[in-house]
Amino acid sequence: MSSGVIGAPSRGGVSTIAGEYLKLTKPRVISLLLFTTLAAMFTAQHGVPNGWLIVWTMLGGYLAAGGANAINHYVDRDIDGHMKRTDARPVVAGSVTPRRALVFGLGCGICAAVILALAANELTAVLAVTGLAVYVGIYTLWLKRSTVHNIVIGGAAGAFPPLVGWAAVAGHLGLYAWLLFAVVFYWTPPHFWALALLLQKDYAAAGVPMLPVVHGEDATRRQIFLWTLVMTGVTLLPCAAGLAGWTYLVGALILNSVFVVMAYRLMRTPTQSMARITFHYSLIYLALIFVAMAVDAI
Amino acid sequence: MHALFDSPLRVIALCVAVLCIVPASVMSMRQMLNLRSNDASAGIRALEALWSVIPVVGLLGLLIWAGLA
Repeated sequence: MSSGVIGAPSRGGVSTIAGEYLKLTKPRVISLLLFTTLAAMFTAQHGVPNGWLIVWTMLGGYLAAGGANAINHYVDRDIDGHMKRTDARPVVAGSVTPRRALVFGLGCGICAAVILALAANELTAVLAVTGLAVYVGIYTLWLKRSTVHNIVIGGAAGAFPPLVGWAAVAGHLGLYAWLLFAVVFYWTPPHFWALALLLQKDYAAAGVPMLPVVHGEDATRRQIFLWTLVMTGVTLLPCAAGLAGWTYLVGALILNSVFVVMAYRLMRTPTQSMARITFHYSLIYLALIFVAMAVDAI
Repeated sequence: MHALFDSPLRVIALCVAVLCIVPASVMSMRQMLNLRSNDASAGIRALEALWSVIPVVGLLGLLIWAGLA
């Protein structure tokens, strides 16, 4: 696709351009993040939050995460072309210029801050912008290309959405909010390393030091299993703190049991299909663990 | 909120959490520390060690916070 699409929109051109900018925000990735935001709002409220607050928080959360993703497209344009998964991204394909992707990302971030500050509170806006800054500054610019711990430490960025949701409702952060942050933080390594097992050739070609690229598949599978156990323990802490009840405990134990068995089988049966199953289950798992929290709180 | 030892739910959840978190996090950290490249500079090795330790420190903090809540 040529950059001329941007300069001379014709019939269908505007929607094409809008579609390319929408792609910059990585809507599929954001949907799970926003789900954790929404579930955190219900949990903090112990019921159904105000409808307009939900709408504005979702919009602000989308813009903050989408802005971070657009800036990520700008920063990673040199390596995205080396990976099958990313070589059709708008900046690499030339349908959006790097400069416009950067401006769009920054604009989304600013809009997110304004919306969240006006519709929710300042803390919510600060948390959303901090999540953007951690994703771009800590993960994309610093750790992604320099250490195998990139998605462990950088994974903190993906853990901000539940904080945003909690702060929008409660106006402050307590232990439960930080436990939600921890659930996403400790879920991220087994989730991303399962994906990295599937895409390690791409990551190697792009020079990204993901764990299987640097230390091999066996070490990665062992780390996935160990981190799944750690994540299991973390998801039980809301009950240990007296903040969640039996409903959540039963749900969490069922969901975690399945995850642990999958991670164990992945460690013992090193196949691509097992890695794929584990990766897909991890997505469902995160959504359902947050559903369990919200249901228990309501 | 019930005090920790007045609530079977809290005690059970905390015990299972400790059993999951402590051994697994220590084993994970040890493996990552052993995997560090000997060719890397001292600064990079120190930074890699720091990245391995930070999540474990966070876990200990969460366990204590949840237990004392």
